[in-house]
Amino acid sequence: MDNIRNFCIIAHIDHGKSTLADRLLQITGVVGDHEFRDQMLDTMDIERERGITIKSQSVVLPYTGRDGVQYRLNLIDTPGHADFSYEVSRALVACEGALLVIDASQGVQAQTLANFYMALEQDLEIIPVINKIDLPAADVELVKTQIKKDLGLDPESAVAISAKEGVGIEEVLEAIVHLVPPPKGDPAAPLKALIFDSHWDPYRGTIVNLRLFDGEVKPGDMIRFMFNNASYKVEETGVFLIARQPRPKLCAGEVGYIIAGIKTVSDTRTGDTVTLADRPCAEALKGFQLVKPVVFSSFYPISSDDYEELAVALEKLKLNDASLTFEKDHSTALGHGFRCGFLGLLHLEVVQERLEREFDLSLILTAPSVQYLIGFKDGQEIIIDNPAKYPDPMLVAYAKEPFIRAAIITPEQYLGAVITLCIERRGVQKEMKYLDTSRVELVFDLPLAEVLFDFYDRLKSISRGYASFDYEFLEHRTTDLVKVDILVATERVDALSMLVHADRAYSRARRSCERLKKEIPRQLFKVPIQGAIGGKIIARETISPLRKDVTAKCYGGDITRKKKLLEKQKEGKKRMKQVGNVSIPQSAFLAVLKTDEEE
Amino acid sequence: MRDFSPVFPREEASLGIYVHVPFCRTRCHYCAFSTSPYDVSAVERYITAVKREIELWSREPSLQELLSDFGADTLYFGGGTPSLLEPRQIQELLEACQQVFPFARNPEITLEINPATADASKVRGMRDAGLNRASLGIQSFDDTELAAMGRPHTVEDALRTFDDLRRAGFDDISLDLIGGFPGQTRESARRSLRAAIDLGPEHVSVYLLEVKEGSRLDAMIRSGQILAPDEDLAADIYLDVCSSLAEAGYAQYEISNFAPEGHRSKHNLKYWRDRPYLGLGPAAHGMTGRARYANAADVAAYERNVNEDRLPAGTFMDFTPDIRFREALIMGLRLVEGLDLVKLGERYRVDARAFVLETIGDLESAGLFVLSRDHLALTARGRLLSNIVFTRWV
Repeated sequence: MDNIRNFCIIAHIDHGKSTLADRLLQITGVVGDHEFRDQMLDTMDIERERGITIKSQSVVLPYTGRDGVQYRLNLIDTPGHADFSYEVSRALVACEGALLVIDASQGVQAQTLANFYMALEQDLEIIPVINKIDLPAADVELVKTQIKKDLGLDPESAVAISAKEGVGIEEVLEAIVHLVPPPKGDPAAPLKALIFDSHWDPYRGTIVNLRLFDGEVKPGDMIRFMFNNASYKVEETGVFLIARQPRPKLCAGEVGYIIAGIKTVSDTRTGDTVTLADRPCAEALKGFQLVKPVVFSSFYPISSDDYEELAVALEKLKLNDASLTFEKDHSTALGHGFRCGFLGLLHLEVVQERLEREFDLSLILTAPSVQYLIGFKDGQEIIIDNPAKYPDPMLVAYAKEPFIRAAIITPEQYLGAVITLCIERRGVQKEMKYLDTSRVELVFDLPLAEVLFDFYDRLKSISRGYASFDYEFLEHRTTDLVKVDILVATERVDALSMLVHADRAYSRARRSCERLKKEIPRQLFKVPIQGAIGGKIIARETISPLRKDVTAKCYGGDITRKKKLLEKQKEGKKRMKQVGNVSIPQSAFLAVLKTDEEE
Repeated sequence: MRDFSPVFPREEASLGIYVHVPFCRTRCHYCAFSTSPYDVSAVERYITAVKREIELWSREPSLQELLSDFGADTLYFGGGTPSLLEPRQIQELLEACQQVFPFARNPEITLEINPATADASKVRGMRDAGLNRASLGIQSFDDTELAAMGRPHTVEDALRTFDDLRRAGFDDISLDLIGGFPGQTRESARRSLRAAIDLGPEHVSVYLLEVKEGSRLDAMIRSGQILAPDEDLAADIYLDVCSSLAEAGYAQYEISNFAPEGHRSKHNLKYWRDRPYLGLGPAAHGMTGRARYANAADVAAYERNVNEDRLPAGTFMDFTPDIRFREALIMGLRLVEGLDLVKLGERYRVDARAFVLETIGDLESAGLFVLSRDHLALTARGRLLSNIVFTRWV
């Protein structure tokens, strides 16, 4: 156990987490140069394309230190996005140390701080790593000052590296060996292991990623998950060297995996404790939470024939994504679909993209909604996440919406614009402090719904990309909620309804109408598009009727061309949703969700 | 859907012959057609190749069968710019056709003319070669608009050519105009139309602009150099055109064509009336009754084929009776007179009315067409929105 070091890498987005991981894999010989590719630990296409990590993963790095001792360094790669902050926190629990990577040209950012506090909470040994020292704009001394001032860490312990150029990587390994304490634990005690993620394998079922704190586990053992009391027989234990590498057993202090005939990842829960069925540990590890989705949207297949396929696809994604929830939903306008719950907008986008790419589905999404708490006059309370379920306003006594606490770090020159943005979004300022002469940290309480709606893009654009942002959930607070309906040709399109703050109702309704007008092709008749609260129309646009759709020249040589054009037109029509007697293209539904910047 | 299974009709009309002349000196901005730069030796090679193609067709038994009963009665030189050819070259092609295809008496022989390419003596030569109908591509009577279209001539050029045609004895002249070009106004379109009517041609074609993918115009619109044409304005211009021409005695007989009875284009009517026609030359299309074909568009590929004794049809689409029946509907409805559903039904041995009701019945309330017991025709509104109807049949 003395030669084991368990660590993770945490960083603000784009500060070089994956590049450092790649270098560690190369220098320790886990991957040869010929099999190397960027972002080794991100195996999903979508992770690689977007440069993000969604799933946690571990890998053993064998390293012979300068002291001649052979070490086993377990690197646990964690997601980097706030959507997955619970997953990150569990991965941190599995470690004794963390490399906190800071971009030498950007310095400490909001997620640097958020990750730092999270690591601190888990009592991890934190090693600051100043990356990208090869950049002309790198200012190592300034970053060291920030490390001292913002993080309260010893700047002398910081390792200055360039992961891209491979400079300083060995120093990082030495720092891990010397600064991160070896794991503690009792190999003879009953098994106590933490699930920090799980993956689904089509041949073996769920692969559970574990960190053992006490005891040991080997094939043949009957194990028990303490959250749901389910028991399984272990088929295989092992560690990851990128690929799975079976080992006869896993012992206290180690990081590895077990396979135990578990059908879906939903049967295992990140943060749960694994113990032996016949010799259980006294108590479970602390901090377990059942992650709950916070953002909801309904997914409908464009072609109603694809409904079954969508159901199958969601089931398949769910095998590997326990935090995705879905249930049947029905819309008068769009037919059968699913109400899906996500950890955040990134999670939603990832699922949408995978459904469209891996399962070749064309989807219509409804506007993402948060969960509202609705209190009735008779004292009853319900939670709703779907505008379609919004009760008769006459019966409603109050509504509450979820708030988050956001930490924003911005260069001073954008401070005014950032504060204005937050206030526009109904934010309440809680704190403002100068990190140094030019950078300010702001803390705002903001309604989650406002943050979902293009907040991050706006923040980036008003600060020319310099402001950084992180958030955590706070509580539900009383709000003035209304339901805005959209009517196309006087028919209410339920899939376009949204729950918004009363102050926002007019602008959101107007915006939806304008965008729909742009996207819905002209029809044979005049089509009014209206936004309404109850029976009251609050916004209106009109699509004038189509007057011309004609092929002027049609002689011998034009017939083939014309038929092709007509076929194309017909195909296009097939991809539209018929709502009443209006054909609405998929793009119209998506346009309503788009942010200003995307236009 | 009910089972409609038409059968192939018997052909019962004379053949039309189209000769495609692919050369252009410059390319107009709205054009995406395959054309070749003009040069003297390329034209000579082209003439030889087309004569070869005519000979190859003469050996086709299927064509002989088509020709034996009714012969051919129209010949149309289109392009490209056929007026770039010398009269003797046109004559050579004409004679080659006459040797192989039995022509009816007084066939309609049309030449498309670009005003910048023919002077008085050339026009006379064309008349002497045996051409009896001219289609003059004026497009607009506004020099600014002509320049915007990339046309290589001025209004003055066009007026002179028209005058030359009349002097040479052409008593069947058609004028082409374009409606809805970016920059055109309702007023300028009216002025062009008035000028066209004042010349007193026998026939007028007005084509609402289509922005074709691959044309210079398309690129200019995409890059924001010019505004996309206003569809509503185009619709207004079109309705103006229809009423002004009707007043002046040019009855509309097809979506884009206007002429008094007796001056309609016999050749073009074949396309709309489901009649077979032969297409000669690169990129020419033909319809044999059982198939539609397109010759190789590339001049070199076309020449290679005929020089190796092969008909140069690059693509062939065999009809099924059903496909031909649907095309007959689509093409026939372009005519203002509409379709006699009883005759069409007899021709294809189907219940044409039931088919129409089943496929477009729901559009009746939109006022796009008028359906009586035995007759179907588009309304004026329906002609402007004809693609809505036609998409139901592809």
